[in-house]
Amino acid sequence: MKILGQKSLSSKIYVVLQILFVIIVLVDISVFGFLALTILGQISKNIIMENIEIDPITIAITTFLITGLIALYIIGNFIQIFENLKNSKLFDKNNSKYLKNISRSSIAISIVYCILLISLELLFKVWYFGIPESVLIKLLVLVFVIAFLTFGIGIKILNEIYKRAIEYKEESDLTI
Amino acid sequence: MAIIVNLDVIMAKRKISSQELAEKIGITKANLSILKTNKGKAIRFSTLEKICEVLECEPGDILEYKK
Repeated sequence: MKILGQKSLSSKIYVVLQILFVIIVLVDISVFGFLALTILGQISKNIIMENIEIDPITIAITTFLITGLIALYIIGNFIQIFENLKNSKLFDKNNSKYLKNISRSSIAISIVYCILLISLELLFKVWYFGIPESVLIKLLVLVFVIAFLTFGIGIKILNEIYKRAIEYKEESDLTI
Repeated sequence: MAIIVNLDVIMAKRKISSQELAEKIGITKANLSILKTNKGKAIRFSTLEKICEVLECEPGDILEYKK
């Protein structure tokens, strides 16, 4: 199967990413709506802002909203890369810039999850969760932290290789 | 610190056009222009040999090292 160019695997991935982008936008909008309604509901119940309760679900939704927005940015950058691959622009310098953005965003997501992990550690003492549930949730968040951090660093390394490849290609093109 | 290509000087001395030289050494006019304007990253021995052959000169006449 053709990997690069028109009617290839990369052009199909380009379409899938665009669909994914729209889905995440819709999910993010609905999550934001839910969060806004929850907060508004709490405000209407407790007129004084200080009485608003921070529950685990609100924190989880806020985290997913933030990471969702960053994920949108990552997918947007992937779309740009695959658009270049679709147009057979393999050694475009912009691809390196997009990879850098993806790497940074992925590390940002891991930081957000890291903050969530610390908040969970502090707030679990207050909440009603039992020990097995709290350990399981913390473990799950820790897996997210490690996964996104590894992905971000991995992309950063791949970006360096890509940069070298662009340099070699440029050198080869300018060898007469 | 750079290697300068003095191809245009030799070409002027030999009264040869870019088009003619490109055709004689078997490269495109665009690539010859890259060489002349010092935008090239490297030059193949085979290309250098053909240039020297056509322009009847030494590699040192074409390439110059400037500090």
